[in-house]
Amino acid sequence: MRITNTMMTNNILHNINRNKQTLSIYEEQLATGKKIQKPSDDPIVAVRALKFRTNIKEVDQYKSNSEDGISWCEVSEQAVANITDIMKRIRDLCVQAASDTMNIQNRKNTVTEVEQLMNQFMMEINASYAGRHVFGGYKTNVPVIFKEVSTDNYELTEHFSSDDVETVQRVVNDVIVDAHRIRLGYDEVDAPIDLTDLTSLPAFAGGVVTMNSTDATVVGPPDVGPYAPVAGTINFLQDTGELVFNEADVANIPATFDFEYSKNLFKKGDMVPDHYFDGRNTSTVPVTTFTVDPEEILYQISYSQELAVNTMAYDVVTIDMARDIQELVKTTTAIAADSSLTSELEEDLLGDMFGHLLTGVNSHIDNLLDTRADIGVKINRLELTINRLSEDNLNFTELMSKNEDIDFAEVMVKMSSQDAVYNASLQASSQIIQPSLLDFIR
Amino acid sequence: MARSAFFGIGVGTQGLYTARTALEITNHNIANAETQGYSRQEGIQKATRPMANGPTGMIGTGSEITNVIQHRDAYLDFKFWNMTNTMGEYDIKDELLSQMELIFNEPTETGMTTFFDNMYKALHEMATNAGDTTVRSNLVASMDAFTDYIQDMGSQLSELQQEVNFGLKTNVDQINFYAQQLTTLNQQIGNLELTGKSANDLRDERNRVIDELSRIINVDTRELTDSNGKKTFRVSINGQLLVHDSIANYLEVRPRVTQNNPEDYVDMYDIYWKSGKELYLDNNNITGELKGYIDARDGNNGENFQGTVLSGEGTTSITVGSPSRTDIPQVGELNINGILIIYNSYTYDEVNDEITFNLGFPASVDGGTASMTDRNGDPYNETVTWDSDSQVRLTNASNQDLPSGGKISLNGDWVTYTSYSKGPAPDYEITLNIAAPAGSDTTTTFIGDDMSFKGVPYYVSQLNEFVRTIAKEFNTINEMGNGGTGTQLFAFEGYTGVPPLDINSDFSYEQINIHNFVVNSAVIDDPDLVEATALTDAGEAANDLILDLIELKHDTTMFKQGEPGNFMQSLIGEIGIDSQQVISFRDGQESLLLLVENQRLSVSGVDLNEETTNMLKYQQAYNVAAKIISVMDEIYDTTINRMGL
Repeated sequence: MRITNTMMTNNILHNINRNKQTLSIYEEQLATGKKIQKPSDDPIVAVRALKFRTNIKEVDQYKSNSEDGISWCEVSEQAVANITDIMKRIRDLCVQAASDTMNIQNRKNTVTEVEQLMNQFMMEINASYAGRHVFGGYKTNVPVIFKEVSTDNYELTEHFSSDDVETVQRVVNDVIVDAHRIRLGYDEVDAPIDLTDLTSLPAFAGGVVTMNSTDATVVGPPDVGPYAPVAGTINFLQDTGELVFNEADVANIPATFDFEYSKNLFKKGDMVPDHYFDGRNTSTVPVTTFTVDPEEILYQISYSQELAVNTMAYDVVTIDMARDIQELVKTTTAIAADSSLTSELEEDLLGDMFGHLLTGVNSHIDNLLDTRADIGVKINRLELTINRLSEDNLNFTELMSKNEDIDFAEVMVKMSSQDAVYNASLQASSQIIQPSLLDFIR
Repeated sequence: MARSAFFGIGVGTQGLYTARTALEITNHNIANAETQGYSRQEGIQKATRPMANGPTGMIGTGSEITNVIQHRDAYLDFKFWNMTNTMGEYDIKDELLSQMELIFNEPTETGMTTFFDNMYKALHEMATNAGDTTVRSNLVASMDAFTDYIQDMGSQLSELQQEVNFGLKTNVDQINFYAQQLTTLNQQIGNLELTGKSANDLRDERNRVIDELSRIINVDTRELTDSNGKKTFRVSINGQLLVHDSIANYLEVRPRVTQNNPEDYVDMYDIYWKSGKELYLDNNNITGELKGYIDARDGNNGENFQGTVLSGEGTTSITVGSPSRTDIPQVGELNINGILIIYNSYTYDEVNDEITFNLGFPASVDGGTASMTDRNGDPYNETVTWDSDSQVRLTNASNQDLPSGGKISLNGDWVTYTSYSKGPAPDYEITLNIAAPAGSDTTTTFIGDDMSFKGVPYYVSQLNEFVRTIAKEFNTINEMGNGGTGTQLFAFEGYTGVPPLDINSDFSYEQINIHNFVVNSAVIDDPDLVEATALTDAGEAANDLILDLIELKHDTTMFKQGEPGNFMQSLIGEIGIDSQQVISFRDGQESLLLLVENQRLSVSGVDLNEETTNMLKYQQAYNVAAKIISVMDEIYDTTINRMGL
C-alpha cells in the first residue's frame, strides 16, 4: 500500500487524540472522584446512583422520624412515670386514711395533701413536646386539663350503660340511705339539653323527670331527699353532677342510653372535655365539635411501616379517677366539725370512701403501668428501627460509594500508565513526521 | 532517407520540454500537498512518433507529455460519501443527547430527583408536625420549587428543539450553497473539458463540495456522457435530483401550519423544494446531519397519534376510534391515506373512546380574502364566499387551474379542500369541498410521523405524563380533605378552578404539561389548603392524608415503570443508553471513516518523498537534455566550421 504523508499525520493525530481522550477521562474521574460524569458514561451506574440517593434520603428521613418519635415517647413516658408516682402516693394516703383510727382532722389533712398532689398531677398530664400536648390526640393544641378558669360553653353527650349505675351510701335526713346513681363527668353542670334519651327509657315512659336546683333542694315529695327519688322519677343533681334513680327502677334501665347536658364554667384543673367526651364547644368561632376516638398520630418509620407515637389522655387518667378524688375532697371538706348526727354519720362513711378510692387508685395504677409498658414497647421498637436504619444507611452509603466513587489508587495507576502511553505516542510521532527524503539530499 | 540536420536539436528540445512539464506537475503536487480534496496528478509521458529511417528501422523522435491525469478512485469516493453521512447523523445525535443529559442533570444533587425528594422530605416533616404552619409553608415552597424545576426543564427542552430546528434550517441553507457551487463547477468543468482533457483541479473541488454535502444528506452522483462526448454531472439527495449540470433545484424551509407532535414548539420547519413539492424525507434511507436534526427534533418513539376512522368520509366531521392518545393539539393535520387534512377542533368521547374531528372553518363567516397556493406552490389570494362550513365558493376565480386538493387560509384559520367542481359559463364558479376524502372510513389515520428515535418530543411527553400523574394523584388525595372539598394542589398556569380538573378523567389532566405545571396559586397564597386529614373535626395533629401522599412515593402501580422514583430512573437510563449507543456508533464510524479516508489518501494523496524523487529525476532529465543540446551544438560546430575548409 502506498503511504502518503497526510495518511501518516491523520493516523498519528487520530491515535494521539484517542490517548488524550482516555487521559481526560481519568483526569475527570480524579477531579470529581466519580466514575461517571453523565448517564451515558455508564447508564447502569447512573440509574443505580439515582436509586441509592433516594434510598439514603429516605432512610435518613425515617431515622429522623423515628428519633422524633422517641423524643415524643420519652416525654410521654416521663409524664406517665410521674403520674404513677403521684398515684402511688395517693394510694399510700388512702391506705392510711381508710383506717377508722383516723379522725376527721387527720383525714382533712390527708385530703389537703391529695389536693396538692392533684395540682402536680395536672402539670404532668399537660406534658408537652415542642409545644404540643402529647396526650392530646390530634388536638395537640388543646391541653388535657384546664390551666385556668374557663367560661367556654360546652354541650356534652355522655354514653352510659345500665352497668354504670352504682350504689353509694349517702346521709339523708340523719339516715344513711343507699343511692342508685350514675355519675356524670363533671359536677356543677348546667341544664340538661336532651331529655329525650331519658324520657325514652321504658321505665320512665310518661314519668315525671325531676331536677334539683343548684342548691340541691328536693323536688318531689317533701320527705324524700335528693338521693331518694320517687319511683319512676330521676333526680338530676346539678351541683354534684349525678343522676339518681329509685331502687325499683334500677332493673329497668336500658342497656345503653345517652345523656346530653351543658356546662359553662370550668375550674382550673378540670379535665378538658374535648379529650373525654363527644360534644361541642359553642364558644369558639367556628363551633368546635369533638368526639372520643383513638386518635393515633402515625409516624412513618420505615417502608410502609407506621407507628402511633402518641398516648391518649384517657389511657393515662380516666375521668372516673378524677371524679373519685374530686368527690372525696369535696365531701371531706364539706363535713363540719359540729358533732351533729349528720356529720358523725358522714364521717363514718368517709372511711368507706377512702376504701373505694383505694380500689380505684389501685386499678388506675395498673392501667398506668400498662400504658407505660406500651410506651416502653414503642420506644424499644423505635430504637431497634433506628439501629436498623443506621445500618441501612451505612450499607446504602457504602453501596453508593462502591457504585459511583472511583478507587483513587487504581485510577492514579491507570492514569500514569495512560500518561506514559500518551507521551510515547507523542515521542513516536515526532520521530515519524520529521525526517523526509529532503533531509538526506545534499 | 536523410533526416533534417537539426533533428537532434529537436529531440533534445522535446526532452527539455517534457522534463520541465513533469517538473511543473511535481511542483503543483508539492504545492498542493496539504490542499483539502486534492488528488495527486501525473503527467503521462510518451515517446513521440518514431520516424522510419529506411533500412535502419525506426528512429525515435523524443518524448512528450500527452495528458495530465489525476489519481482518484471513484469507488472510494462513493464509500467515503456513504460513511460520512452516517457520521454526520451520529455527530448531531451525540450533540443533542449530550445536551439532553445536561438538561436532565442527573445523577447530581441538583437534579429533578433531588427536587422531588425534597418535596417528600417536607411531607415527612409535615406528617410529624401537621399542626405547624411553618412546616406547611415549607411543603408548599418545596412543591413550588419542584414545579419551577420542571418548568425550567420544559423551557430548556423547548430551546433545544428550537436550536435543532435552526440547525435544520442551516443545513438547508448549506445544501443550497453547495448546490450553487456545484452548478458553477459543472459549468466550468464542462467548458474546459470540451477539449477532451480532464479538468483535474476543478474535479477535485467538485468532489470536495460533495464530500461536504454528503455529511448533510445521503448523496448520489452520476456522470453521463452524451453522444458528442459532453459530460453532464447529476447530484441527487435522498434520491431526488438536486443538481443537473448547471441547473440546481433549491430547497427552502416553511414553518409548519400545525404541530406534528403536541409537544412541539411552534413554527417547526418542513423542507420544500422551491418548486413547491415537499422534500421527501420519511424513509429509512435518509442519513446525514439532516436526519440527525429531524430525528432529534421530531423523534417521538413511534408514539404519535393514531386511530381508525370509523365514519365521516365525505363530511366535515370524522370520528376516529381507539385513539392512541388524546393529548393532541387543538388544531392539527390528520393524515388519511397520505392526504393531509386540517382539523380545527375536536371533541373526545370518553365513554366510547372516540374522537370526533371537525374539518370545517371554526366560525361561520360569510367570506373574505383567502390565501391559497397554486399548482406550483406559489401563494396567491382569492375572494371567497361560503354558505356552509363545508363549501367555499370562488365567484370570480383569478386562477382556474387549481390543484385538486390544498389548503385555504382565512384570517389565520386553515382548512383543507379535497376536491372542487366548476360551475357553468360564463362565471365558472368554483366550489371547493371541505370533506374527508372518499375511502377514508376504516383506514388508519395519524398525526405527525411515526419516528422511532427518542428525540425532544419523546422526553417532553414522558415528563408530561409524569407531571400529569403526580398532579392527579396528589390532587385526588388533597381533595378528600376538608370534608371532601379540598383544593387541588397542582394545576396549570392560568388555572382558575373553572372548570375544575376532573380527577376521574385523564383527559382533564391533559391540559397540564411541563411548560405550565404549577402549584395551585390558591395553595401558594394559603398553605392551610394543604389538607392533612380526611376526618372532620379532627385536631391539628391528624395526618392521614399526608401519610397517604407519602405512601404514593412507593406506589408501584402509579406508572408502567413502577413508582415515581423508578419512572425517573428509567428515563435517565433511557437517555444514558441511547447516548451511549450513539457515541459508540459514532466512534466506530469514525474509525471506519479514517480507514476509507486513508484508503483514499493512499491513492490520491501527495507523498513528499515521492515528489522529491520525481523532482530529482526530472531535474536530472532536464540537465541531461540540456547536455544533449550542447552536444548537438558541438556536432554542428564540427560539421559547419571544421569540416571541408
